[in-house]
Amino acid sequence: MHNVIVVGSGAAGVAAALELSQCRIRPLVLDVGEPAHPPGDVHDNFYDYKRGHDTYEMTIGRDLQGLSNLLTDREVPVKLTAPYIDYVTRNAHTLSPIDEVDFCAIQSFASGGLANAWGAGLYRYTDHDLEGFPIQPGDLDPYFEKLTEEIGICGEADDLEGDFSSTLGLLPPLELSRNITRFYDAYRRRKHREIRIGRARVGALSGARNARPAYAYRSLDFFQESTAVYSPRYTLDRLSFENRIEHRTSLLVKRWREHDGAVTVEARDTVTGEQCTFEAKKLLIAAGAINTSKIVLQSHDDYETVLPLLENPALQFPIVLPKLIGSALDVTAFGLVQLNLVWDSQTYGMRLQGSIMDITAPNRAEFFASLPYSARANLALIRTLLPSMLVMQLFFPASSQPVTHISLQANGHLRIVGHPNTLDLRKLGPLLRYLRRLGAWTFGRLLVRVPAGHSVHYAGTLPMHESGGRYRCTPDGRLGGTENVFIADSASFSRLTAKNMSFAMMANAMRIAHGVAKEVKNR
Amino acid sequence: MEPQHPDRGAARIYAAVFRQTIPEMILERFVQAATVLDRRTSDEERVLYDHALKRIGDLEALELAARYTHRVPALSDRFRLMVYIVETDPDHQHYYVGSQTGFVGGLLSMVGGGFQTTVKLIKGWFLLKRLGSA
Repeated sequence: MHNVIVVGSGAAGVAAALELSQCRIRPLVLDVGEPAHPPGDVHDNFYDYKRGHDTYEMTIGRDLQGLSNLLTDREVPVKLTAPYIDYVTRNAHTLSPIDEVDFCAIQSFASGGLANAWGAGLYRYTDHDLEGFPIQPGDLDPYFEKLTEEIGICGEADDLEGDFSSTLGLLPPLELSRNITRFYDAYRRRKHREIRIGRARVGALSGARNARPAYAYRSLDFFQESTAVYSPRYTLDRLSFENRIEHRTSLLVKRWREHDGAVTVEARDTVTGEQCTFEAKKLLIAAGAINTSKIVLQSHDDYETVLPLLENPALQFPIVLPKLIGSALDVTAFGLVQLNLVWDSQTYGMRLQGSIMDITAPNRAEFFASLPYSARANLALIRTLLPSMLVMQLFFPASSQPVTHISLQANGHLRIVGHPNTLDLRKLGPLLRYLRRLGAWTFGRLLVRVPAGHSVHYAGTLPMHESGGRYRCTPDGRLGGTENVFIADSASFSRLTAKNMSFAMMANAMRIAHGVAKEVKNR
Repeated sequence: MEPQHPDRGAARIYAAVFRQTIPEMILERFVQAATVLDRRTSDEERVLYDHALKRIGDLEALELAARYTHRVPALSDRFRLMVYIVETDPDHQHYYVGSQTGFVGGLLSMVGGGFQTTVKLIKGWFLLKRLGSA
């Protein structure tokens, strides 16, 4: 019998496995584990490379993955269409079919999970974020510190220190691109009482560390993996190599049964189709909020209960810096989040968080259909206007939209019923006016409501509650009605503020794993 | 009406955007992807698209009007497809990434593009009407 089984190898599963291994428990990690592609071999700047090399296989791919938003009815975030990253969502809808209404769920069965494609924005939860949770920031702080050391997070003390908390252990920030530097300088000259802007906290290395290179500013962020940007897969591989975990792949966990103080986990081998069972003293489920809920509902043979599913609604809009029109494209920009904005919005009556990025990473063609001119003139706009642009993604708390619901159907498919994104764009007025004061323009026509499901921040299906209860967790992560089953991912979150929850989810997974390790040792 | 050969569509769209004869490699790639796109094109859209290829001279103008009115999506999708595929070719990079023109140069380019677009849009609306009534 194993001491602990961890289901899932995404950010939460890996964090839980890391903590267990540090508590001298060697967990069995079960997942499907779609393997990553071999690393790419482009060492030039992407734009230099494109001038000398055909990039069809790199950007579109033999199976036309790069065109999937055009060729299929299912729209996904652009980064997920890159051929090198197709393994992240490979077979997801075969392995776990979902009938969706007004929702587009993004699932992953890859080793490392969806974090292989994340923006690596890692933000500590504070008192504000943990309101309604039965835990305090102090409960997570030791794990934030361990994770900061494990991941390598860059950032600095600035106007967002109050929102993002301690800067302890942070690496120096990455270099800002030309456009972002100009924008940030303008902010520092003209601050706003409701809006704060500062450097993003990103899981990317500004200097070489532990055999990982420093970020190289090659504009390859969308088309080639860089180990300078952290993926939980690196920790998973290291723990496996050091024999501190047992990692078994090609296994789709279906359900568990509790008996005589132990848990039996049933899984299907995705290669042979055979059923397998594994026995452990404790089970930690971290399969992502959607699939964790599925495993729980399947284990209860429950085809009636409808659970809530929280997600961050979002808006996206380009920002033009008119003074930079006609400048050359800054091809050395960091392609993920460079700045964050926190807006205590009176118009929306809530705190919102924005991510500000340069737009050098995606294909130029990605912008073609959004531009208003004729085809040839649009290409000219791509050359003259895009180099002066940034993009902002503005995230809202889950409570800003009606709750999405998730249930299990008798045919084994999940059913998710969401709502179209109906965020009120008129309330953005104060933000847009402030951006104009900073010399940054955007236009109503260019505001895009991100489709429900695309923020990929899913949570809250089995929320933590002081007293637990059916389909709820106790503060130690134990699932209501069970003795030895724990929920270690964001399914146990009680609410979802606008802040990206990945880092808090990882820290919470470690906190729960730590408690489980103690129970195993005391038994 | 006989469906137009995919090669013909590729050549016409490429010429509308890049004013040249389509290179063989781009033609092959476009046809491969367009075959997938065809599967999600309704018969009605397909007829309109074929009709446009056969009857309309200025496809760029037609596509612009069609994009604004959400008509002939098959044509707009194929323009997008062409722009994606061409970007992978090293010899076409200057269409996507320009050198510095300066603020005035950039502004003039944008104003010129706006003027060209207005003319094309007016023409495109007439072409769209012609396409609809044919």
